[in-house]
Amino acid sequence: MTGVDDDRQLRTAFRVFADSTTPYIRPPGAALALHDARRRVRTRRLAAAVAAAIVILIPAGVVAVVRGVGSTSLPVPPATSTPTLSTPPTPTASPSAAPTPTSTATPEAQPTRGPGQLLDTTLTLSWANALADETCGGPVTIVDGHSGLIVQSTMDFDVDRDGDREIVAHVLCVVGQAGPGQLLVIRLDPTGPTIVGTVLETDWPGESGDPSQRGPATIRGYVGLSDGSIRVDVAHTFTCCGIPSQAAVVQQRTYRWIGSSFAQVAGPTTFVADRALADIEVDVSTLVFSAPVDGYRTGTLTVRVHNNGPQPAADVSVYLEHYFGIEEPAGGDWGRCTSPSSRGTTSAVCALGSLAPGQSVTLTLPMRRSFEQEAGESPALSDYTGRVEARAGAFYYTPSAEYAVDVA
Amino acid sequence: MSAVEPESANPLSDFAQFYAAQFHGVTVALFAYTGDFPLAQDIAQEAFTRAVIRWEKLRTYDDPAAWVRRVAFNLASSRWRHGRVVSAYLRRQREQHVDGPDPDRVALIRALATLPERQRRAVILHYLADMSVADVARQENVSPNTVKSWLHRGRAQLAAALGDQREVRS
Repeated sequence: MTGVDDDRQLRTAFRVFADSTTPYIRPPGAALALHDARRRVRTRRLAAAVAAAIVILIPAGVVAVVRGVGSTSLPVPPATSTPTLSTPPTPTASPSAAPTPTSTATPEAQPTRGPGQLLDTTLTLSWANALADETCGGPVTIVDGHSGLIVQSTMDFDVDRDGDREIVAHVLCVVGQAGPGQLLVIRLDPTGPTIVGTVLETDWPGESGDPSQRGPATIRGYVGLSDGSIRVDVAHTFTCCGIPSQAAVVQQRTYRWIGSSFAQVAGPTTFVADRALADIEVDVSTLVFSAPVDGYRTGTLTVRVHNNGPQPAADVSVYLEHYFGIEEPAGGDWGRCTSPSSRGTTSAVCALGSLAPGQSVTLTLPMRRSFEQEAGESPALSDYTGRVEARAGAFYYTPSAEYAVDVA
Repeated sequence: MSAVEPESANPLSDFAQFYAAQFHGVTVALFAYTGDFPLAQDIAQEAFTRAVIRWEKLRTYDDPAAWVRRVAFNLASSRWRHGRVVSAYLRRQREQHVDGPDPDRVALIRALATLPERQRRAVILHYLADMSVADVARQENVSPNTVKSWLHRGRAQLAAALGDQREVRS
C-alpha cells in the first residue's frame, strides 16, 4: 500500500472514529466551566488572604528559628589564648552530637588562678598520654612553677552536694611548651589531698587529624553551677604561642558527679566533622621566595578553598601557619586576614564568608622575609613546610594542606 | 443613570458559542489520545474551565481552540492523570455514561496505542483536529520536518496495524 493510500485510509478511519464517538459526548456545559472558574478564583483569593494572615501571625521568633535552620555561625571564642576564668565563651551548638539537655543551674563558684591550697601538696596522678604520664605521673609536689605539673587554677566547690567543699583544679602537664590537662576534683584530708575523680582530661595539644575523633585539646575555663555540676569551656585545638584564638572551636560541656565518677550531662560530646554539611577542600601553592632584593626575599602564597558540598558553606575561614619572621606586606588579600598581635607571629586567620555549592575562593597572600635573619636558622627557610587549614562555620570538618617553600 | 452596555461587556456569550463549537472535537481528539472516553470528557471540561478564566485574553486570539487543545493534551499527560481530582459532577457523568462498543473505534485506539506518545499526538492533531504540519510543529515545539517524519512513520504503522486487525476480524 502506498503512502497516499495510507493517508486516505487513515482519514477515513479517523472520520469514522469521530462520527461514532460524537453521539456519546455529553458536554458538561459552558455554565459549569464558568461556575468552576469563579469558585477557583474565589478560592485563590481566599488562599492568598489566608497566606498573608499567616505571615502576619507567625511570631517573629519562629521565623528566626526557621531562618536559622541550615545556617551556621562561628562561635565567639574568648579574646585571649590563655584559660579565661571569668569570661566564658558563647556556647557552641553541635549539629549532631548527643542530646544536650538545658540546665537551669546558675553559676555558683568561679575558679581563681594559681594552685591556691594545693601549693606544696603532693598529688598522685596518671595520664592517658605516655609522655605526660612519664613527666607528670605518680606523686608530684605542686610548686608555683612554669614546667612539669602546673596547677592552672582552682575552685572551691561542693561537687557532691554533701555540704563540704572540694577543690576543683585545672592541672597542666607541660612538656616543652604545651601538654595535656586535667580537671580534677580533690578533697583535702588531714593526711593530704585525695583525688576524688577526674572531670575531664584533654588530649595532647596540637594533634592533627579529624577533630571529631579526638577529645578537647584544651580547657579554656570552667564554672561551678548551683546544681553541683561543672560547666567546662573546651576547645578543639590549642591556641597558644602565636596561633590565633579564633582558630579554635569552643564548646560548653557540663559534667556531674554520679556517685563514683563524673559523667557528662549536657553539651555536645564531640567536635562534629560533618562533611555532608560542609564539604570544603583546600589546596595551596608552593611558596617560592625570590633572590634577596634590598635585603628581602619576596614570594606569594596562593590558597584556594572550594565548596564541594550540596549546601552553602557558611563562615568559611582559613587558618594559615607560616615561617617565623615572615612579614605580611600590604596588598593581596591580607585585608581579609587577622594575625595575633604578638611579635613573632607565625599564623593568621582569613575570613572568606560563605561559599555557595561549587564556589571557590582564592586568597593571594604576598610575603616577604628579611634576608639577614636566615643565617644559622633551623630549620632553614627552604626546609620549612607550612600548613593551611580550612573551616566552615560550626562544622568542624577541617581539611588541611601543607605547602613547601622554595628559595631562589 | 443607565448606560448602554456594548455587546462585548458580556464576553461569556461568545465563550458559550466557542464551547459548543469546540468541545466535541477536543473530546474526540483526547479520546483518541488517551483511549479513555470519560477521562477525555473530564480533561476537555477542565481545559475549557481554564480557558474561561482567561477568556478576555483568549477571545482575541486567532485560534483560541489551539490554546484549549494544547492545554488539554498537556493535561492528558500521565502526570496530570495521576494527580488529577475529578469533580463529583464529572464522576456522576462517568457513572451514567454507557459507552457502546464500536469495533472501528476500538481498532483505531488500539492501533494508536502502538505509537510513541509524541508521534501519536502529531497524528491525532493532524488527522482529527485538522491541524497543518506547521501548526502541529508549533504546538509541539519541533521543526516541521520532524512532524512530517512522525506522520510518515505513524501513517505506515497505523495502516499496518489497522490492516492486521481487519484481517483478524475477517
